[in-house]
Amino acid sequence: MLTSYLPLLVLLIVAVGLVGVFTILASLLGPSRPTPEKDIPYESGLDPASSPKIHFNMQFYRIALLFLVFDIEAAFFYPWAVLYRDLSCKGQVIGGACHGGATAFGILVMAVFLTILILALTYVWRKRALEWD
Amino acid sequence: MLTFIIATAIKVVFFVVLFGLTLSAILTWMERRQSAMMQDRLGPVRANIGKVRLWGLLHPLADALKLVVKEDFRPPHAYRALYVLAPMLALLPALLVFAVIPFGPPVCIDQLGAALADVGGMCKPDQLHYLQIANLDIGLLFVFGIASLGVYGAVLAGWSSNNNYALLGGLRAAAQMLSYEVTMGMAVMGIFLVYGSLEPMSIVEQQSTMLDWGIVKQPLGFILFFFAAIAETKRAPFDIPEGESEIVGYFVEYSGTRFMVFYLGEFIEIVFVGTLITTLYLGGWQFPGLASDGFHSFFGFNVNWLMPHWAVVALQMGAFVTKVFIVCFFQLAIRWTLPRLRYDQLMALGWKGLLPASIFNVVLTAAVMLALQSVK
Amino acid sequence: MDLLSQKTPLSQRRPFISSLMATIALLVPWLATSVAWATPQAAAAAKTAPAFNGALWTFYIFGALTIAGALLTITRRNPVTAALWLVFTLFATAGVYLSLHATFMAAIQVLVYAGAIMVLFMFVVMMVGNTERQEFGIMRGLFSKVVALGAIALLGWRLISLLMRQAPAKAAMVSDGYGSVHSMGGVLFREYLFPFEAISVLLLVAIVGAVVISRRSTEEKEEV
Repeated sequence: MLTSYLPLLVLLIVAVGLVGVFTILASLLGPSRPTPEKDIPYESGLDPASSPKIHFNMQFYRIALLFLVFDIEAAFFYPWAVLYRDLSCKGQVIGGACHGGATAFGILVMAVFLTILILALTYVWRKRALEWD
Repeated sequence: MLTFIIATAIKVVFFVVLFGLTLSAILTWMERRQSAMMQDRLGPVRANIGKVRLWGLLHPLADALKLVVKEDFRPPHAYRALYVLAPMLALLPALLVFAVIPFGPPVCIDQLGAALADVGGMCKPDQLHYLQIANLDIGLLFVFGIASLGVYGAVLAGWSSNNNYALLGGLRAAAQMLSYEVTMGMAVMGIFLVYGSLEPMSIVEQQSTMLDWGIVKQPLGFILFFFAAIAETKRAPFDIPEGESEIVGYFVEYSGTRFMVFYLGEFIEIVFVGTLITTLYLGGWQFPGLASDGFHSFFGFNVNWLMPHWAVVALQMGAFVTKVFIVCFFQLAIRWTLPRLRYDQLMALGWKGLLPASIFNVVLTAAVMLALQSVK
Repeated sequence: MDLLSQKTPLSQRRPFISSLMATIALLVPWLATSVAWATPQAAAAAKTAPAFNGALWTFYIFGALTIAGALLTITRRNPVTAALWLVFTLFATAGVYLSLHATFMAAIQVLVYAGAIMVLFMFVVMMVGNTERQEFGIMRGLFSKVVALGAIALLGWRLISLLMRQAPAKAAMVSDGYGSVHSMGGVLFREYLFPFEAISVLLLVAIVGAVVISRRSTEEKEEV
């Protein structure tokens, strides 16, 4: 079963090779004519007017944190989604059909999880942490 | 072992290089030609070798040649290693995600001439090949994991350029990609619920009739996923990070071959989104009515045309390519139809619009599945 | 006294080399005695080691990559480069999970750790912009030195005791679906249902904490 991951290695080698070819090509081909004007950071053609550091924008940090939490939540959703038929079936699921009755266990399990996460999203929304970005 | 490596290498060359790269190169031209046709003008049709114009299909070659012979610009005070690494990190995930996309049905090498009713059962195990580079059990999780690495390409490109505006552009691009990755994951959750598997080959095999297609079973999910995927690949109308005429993007200090790598990466992602949507929602390589031994129903008419195995495989691969092409056409058409979203509108759409909608889609799908199961 | 005639001590001129030398000087007697004591037992244990197979190769390769990545992470001066090497290390860790047949965990490791947490790191590192080369001086203070030496000694002890351990008679065979999404989910929603629900509360706390920590200093304080 692990051998099914071996083709990834082949693809990785090919992809890295391709990308490496492009990178080496970039350094080899093309002239090299450095002028002082080319060294100025691009600011729509004007003389550089900004200081070297940018202001720390908290919104990016908030978005990254929110993404992290929702990514973890999605990571829990994946096994639930794949197993939903099994979790909603009182008996066995054979060939895609449920032998036994249906049970609300599957949806209830996620309902609790989801309610709390919706609460979190609502909190973030109401606290205006999603504004201006 | 050797046949395995050869088979994998052939698959990689055909699917990634010949299909992925070639289609994305054609798309670079097609975008401009299609936009021209939509805007009632000519577009790029004049690139030629001698007198051969090929309706402008030589333009991608001309573009590549132009970009490759440009100067290798070295921004001073920039971190050279990271400056060189950033385009690699943008292109590498775009190429790697093709590993799990199924391009066609399982192929039995020594039964190519026969009409097989059941390919898996009538084939010797070492002659059965999957038209998929890697048949992973975590299929689409691999896709999402690798796709989340695209963020590093953007943000590193912005940071290593030693340009404040590029850095801000890179951070904006990264924040946009993060926001829509959440939505993509939740939107596709409906597909996992319905088909009960993360493995793309299994998902496609369950879409044998048009009524089983993902788009029929998950219409809301399809729309959400399509928009989230377009936003994730930073295509219009979500292309503020590249901005072009409005705002400085994160690859402003890149030129020549390195810029070509970014550009190519973006178009490879267009192809990839096309393949992903085809696989999940449009039935993948399934040709409606075509079973593994021939046509049993052709557009509604009951027929019984038995076809040899190789013809079935070829038709189904052709169906796949056609569907991918149609989805790519739509992605390109959307660019020239909708105006660009402002950045705060974009983020608001992601977190306040698409995410709640995709959560609702998951709940609705689960409830409907439970209802259907208790009815049976 | 003339300042130019004073030589700056080695610990300030070459901080990395001098701290490395001090560590080696302090640890060598300890390492030498424990290796001498352990060698006969380690040799006997090595005879019971399993034959090399695919999973073992995978484990060793990815394990070596993890260690290399970790070492490279902690020795970089540029924080962005260090963060990138940490991403590499996390990928190698995912490879180690793969070698143990934990495919779902490998995917989640890449998705969450390398794809979300490290992006957060990158954002902060890039925006704080503290990219001047960090001084890798000898660690200030006696306490940190003692803690570091203790950590290295502990690591060495674990390595040596590992080498002395005999391999089990039969390697554990895993079932076909071990570590896949199906089996992980089956366990998660049945035996571990309560921790699963508790995790949602943990995530809620994390979100509330994130919003509170990152609030604007003046305007939103009253609302929280």
